[in-house]
Amino acid sequence: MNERYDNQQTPYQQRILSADSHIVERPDLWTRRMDVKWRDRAPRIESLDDSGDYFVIDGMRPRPLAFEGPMADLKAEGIEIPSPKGYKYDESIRPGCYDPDERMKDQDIDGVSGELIYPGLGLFMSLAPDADYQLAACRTYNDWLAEFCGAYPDRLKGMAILPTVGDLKAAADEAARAQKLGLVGAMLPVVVPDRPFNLAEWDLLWQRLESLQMPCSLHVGGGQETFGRFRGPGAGAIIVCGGRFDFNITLQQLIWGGAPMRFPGMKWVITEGGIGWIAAALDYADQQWSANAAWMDPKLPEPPSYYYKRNFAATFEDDRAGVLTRDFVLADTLLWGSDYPHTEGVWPFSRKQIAYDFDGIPGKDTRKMVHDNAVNLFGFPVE
Amino acid sequence: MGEYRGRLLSAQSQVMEPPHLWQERIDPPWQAEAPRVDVHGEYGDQLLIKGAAGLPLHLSGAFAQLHLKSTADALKISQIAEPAALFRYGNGETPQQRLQRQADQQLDGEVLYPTLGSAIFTADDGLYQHAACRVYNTWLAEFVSHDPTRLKAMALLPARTEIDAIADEARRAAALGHVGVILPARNALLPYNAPQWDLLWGELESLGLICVFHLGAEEGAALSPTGPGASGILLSSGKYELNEVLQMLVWGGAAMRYPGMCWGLVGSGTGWLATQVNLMDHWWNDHKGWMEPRLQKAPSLYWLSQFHATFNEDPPGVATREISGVGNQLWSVEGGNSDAETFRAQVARTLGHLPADALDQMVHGNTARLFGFVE
Repeated sequence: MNERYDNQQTPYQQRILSADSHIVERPDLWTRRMDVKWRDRAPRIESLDDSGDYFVIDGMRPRPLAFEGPMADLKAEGIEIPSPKGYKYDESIRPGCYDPDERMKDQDIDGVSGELIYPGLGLFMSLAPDADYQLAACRTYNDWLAEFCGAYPDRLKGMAILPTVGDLKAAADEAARAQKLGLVGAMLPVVVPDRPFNLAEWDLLWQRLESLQMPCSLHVGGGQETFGRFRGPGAGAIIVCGGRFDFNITLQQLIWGGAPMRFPGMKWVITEGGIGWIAAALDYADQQWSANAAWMDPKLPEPPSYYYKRNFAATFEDDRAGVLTRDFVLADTLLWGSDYPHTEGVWPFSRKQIAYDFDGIPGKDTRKMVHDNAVNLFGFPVE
Repeated sequence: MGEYRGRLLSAQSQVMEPPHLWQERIDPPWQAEAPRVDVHGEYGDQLLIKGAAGLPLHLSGAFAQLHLKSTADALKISQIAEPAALFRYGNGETPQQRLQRQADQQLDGEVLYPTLGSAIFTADDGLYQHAACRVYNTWLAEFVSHDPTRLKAMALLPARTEIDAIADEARRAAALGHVGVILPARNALLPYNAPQWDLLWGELESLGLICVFHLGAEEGAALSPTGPGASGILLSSGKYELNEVLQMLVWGGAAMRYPGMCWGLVGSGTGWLATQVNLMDHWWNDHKGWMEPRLQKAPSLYWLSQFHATFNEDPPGVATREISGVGNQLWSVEGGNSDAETFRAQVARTLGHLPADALDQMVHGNTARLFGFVE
C-alpha cells in the first residue's frame, strides 16, 4: 500500500470517469502496421543498451520508457521507486496498457467506469520532423486506438493524435477521418515551438474541429516544453514541476491570438496541466485586458476569463487547490482524470484521491468534475 | 463595505529614487554610463542603463521589454502615450514626503523596493551592476534611517557578479541596516539550483537577511512571443518566472541545507502557489528515492517554513490558503489601489471575510515577523 493514501478517509463512492488516461502502445505497433514505405524508420519501443527500453521515433532523441507506465506497479504497492532507468516493456508494462480486456480489470481495480484514452509513445510524435512520416504514424496510431476503444465503447473513448508539421489541412483531414473511426477528440502537444498557437495558420484546424464538434486536447509531454532546458541538481523535478506554466503560455497564446473569439463553438482541453493555477492566471490576464485591450491586436471584445469559461476545459489528477478555486473558473470546465498508468496520476487510488481533493465540496460540483463534464464533453453514456 | 481598522503593513512598496542618484554617487569609472533618467525618450522619460536601449519609464516590466523588441505591438503601445502627456518621472521623493504619503494612505509601515533600481538587473556587466547596487543600497539605508520603525530597506544584490562579491555586498547591506536583499528572477550569472549559491545562502542565513526574488524589468524576457496578441501573451505569462526560482531552490536542496534561510517571491501574487506545492509533494512522494539531492521532507514543508509571497488582490490565493499557508502570504500595496478606493477599503473588500487571526497575519503580522516591524 502507498503510505500517501494509507490514512485517508473513505473513498469517494459515486460513479467516476477519467478524462485523462493513457495506453502504452505495443513495441511493434508501427513496425507492424505503418505503411510499408516507412517501416524501417517506424516508431517503436526497443532496447538500445542495458539501461532499459526506449521510445524511438525518427528524428527524435530516444526517450526512456521510464515515466510512461513501467512504474505503476511500484507506486501501487508503495515501493519506493529506485530509479527512472532500466525498465523493460515486457517486464513492467501492465497488460491493461494495451489489451482492452485487461484494461477493464484495471478500471475495476480503481473503481473507474470509463476513461478518455491518450497515447504513450504517441505523445512525442510531434518531434518527428518529417511531415509525411508524422502523418502516417498518426494514422496508424489512430486506427489502432479506434480498435482498442471499440472493444468497450461505453468505457473507452479515444483521442486521436494529429501531425503538427507540414500542411495543417492534413491534420484537419486526419481529425475528420479519426472521428469517422469513432474517436471523440484530437490531441496536440501543449507546446509547438515552431508554430505557436497564436498564429493564424492554426485557424484552418480550429475551423474544422469546430465544425466536427471535436474537442482539441493540448496535452503535456510532447517533449518540447520550455522547462526542458534546466540542468543541475534537482533538474528532473524542476522540469516537471516548472512545466505547468507552459500550459499558461499556450492558454494565453490561444486567447490573446483571438482563436476562441473567432471560433466560439470550439473547445480546447488543457490536459494534465492541473487546474489550480488557472484562476490566478485568468485574474491576471483580465487585469491586463482591462488596462490594455484598447490598443491590442487582435482586439478582444471580452476579457480572457470569458473565453476560458466558454471555450476551454482542463483536467487534473491531484489538485485540491484547483477544486477550491472552481468558482472562479466554473466547475463546468474542470475534469478529473486518473492519468493511468503514470506516477503523476493516482491509479489505483483514484477514489481516495477524489475523497481528499473534494472534502467539504458540494456533491453537485464534485459530480460535475469527476463525471458529468466528461459525459457532456466526450460522449460517455449517462448512467 | 467600510474600511479595515487594524494595523496595516505593506510588504512591498516602491520608493522613488532621485533621478540623478547614480550620476552623483557612482564610482568614477562608471560615471559616464551611470544609470540615469533621460528626458528625451520617445514617450517621455526613459531610464538609461549601460549596454541597453532606453527603458520607457511609463512602461514597466514586460511592457518595457516589449518596447525594446520593436514588434508591431510595440508600435501600438505608442498610442497610449500621447505627445501632450509624455511621462515625466519627476524628482523622486524625500523621506519626509514618503512618510507623509504613508500617513495619508493610513499605512503603518512599508518594506521598500526600488523603482528605477530594479532595472540594474538588466545590465550584463557584473562590475557595473555591483557599483550601481552599492549606490542604491547606501542611499536607501540613509532614506529609511529617518524612521526605521515605519520604513524597512531591501538591498539590491549584483546577480551578474561572482558569488563571493554578492556575499560581500550582502554583508555591507546588513551593516547598513537593510532587512533583506533582492535578486532577480532571471539574468543571474548562475541558475539558483547551482551549488555555488550556497556561499550566499549561508552568508544570508548567518546575517539573518531575507532574500526575495523580484519580477522587474527582466519580466517575460525569456518568452519573446511574436505574432497576433504577443503583448497580451507576454503580459499574462511572464510573472510565473518566479516559479522557476521556487523550483530551483527547493529541488536543488538549498532550502534543505539552510533551514534558517527565508526566501520571498515578490510581484507574482499567491494564487498559483497552492497547486504548485501540491504538485511538488506529489512528485516527491513518488520519486524521492532516486532524486539528487534527496529531500528529507516534502517540498510543501520547506515552502511553509522558509518561503513567503506578496500579493495585493488575489482571490485565488486567499481561497487556497489552507494549502499555501496563511503565514506565507503578505499583503502589499504592490500594483496600488484605484483612486476610488483606499487601501483600507480594498483590504476590507478583498480580505474582510477572513477570520480575524488570518486577516491580521496577512496584512501585518507576517510582515512584522519577517521584516522586523515592532507590533
